[in-house]
Amino acid sequence: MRTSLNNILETEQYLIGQLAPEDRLAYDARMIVDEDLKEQTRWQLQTYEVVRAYGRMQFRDQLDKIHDRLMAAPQHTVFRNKIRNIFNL
Amino acid sequence: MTEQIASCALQDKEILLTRLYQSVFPPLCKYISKKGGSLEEAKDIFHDALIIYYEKNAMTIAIADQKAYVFGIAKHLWNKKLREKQRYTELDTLSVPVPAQRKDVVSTKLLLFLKQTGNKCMELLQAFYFENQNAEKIAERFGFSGVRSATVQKFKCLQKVRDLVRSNAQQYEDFLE
Repeated sequence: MRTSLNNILETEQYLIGQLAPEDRLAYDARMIVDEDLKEQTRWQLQTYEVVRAYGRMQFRDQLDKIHDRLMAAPQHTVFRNKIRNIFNL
Repeated sequence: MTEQIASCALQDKEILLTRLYQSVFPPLCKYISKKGGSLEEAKDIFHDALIIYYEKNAMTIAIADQKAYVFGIAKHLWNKKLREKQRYTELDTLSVPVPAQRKDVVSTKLLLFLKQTGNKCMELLQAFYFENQNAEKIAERFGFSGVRSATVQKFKCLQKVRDLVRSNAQQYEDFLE
């Protein structure tokens, strides 16, 4: 893997706590003197949060589609009527 | 018999979710309607519960328990919402400003931007970090020659998306709210 990819891998291991204690200490020390590494680590952490939010958004879309299908498709009339009855619709 | 929703194929995931929908949603609607909730509220609560269930399901759960598990989360979320509603009503009568509803942490604008500019990478990354699929399944699903090339691509994408997020952070100033 290219060096930059190795850096990303190392940062990931740092962030998820997979570095050995001595490597973790070394990483912490490098962040003190290397502003770029510190920034890269900060942005990578935020990127994981963004990716998970993206996954949640896609999952929500999928659930909306399933809901719409169950509430509209002819083969799901029994299900739909059950739900409508509960809410007196 | 046990099954892990996160590790099953896409089609199976759709089938499993539909099955959960058919078995858990009607009793949940009954429960929520008895307490004065609407269909729209029941739907929102159910979707939130399924998302929590999906994210927590890193461990394997027996199929028979899945329904009870999802129903349990949904019930908990609904009762929490009811308590909040009640509190806000009390506050309303005191004309105290009510805090805004809790939003998702990442702005939708940024997510839609990433969907447009880096859709393939976002799909791959969410398979790794949201669906928690293993590299073998991901290699198969996205057509990589093997685990190694899927992993290399993951890190390339991570780099690309990190740089996108970083360079667009100002434009989406509120993206981490």
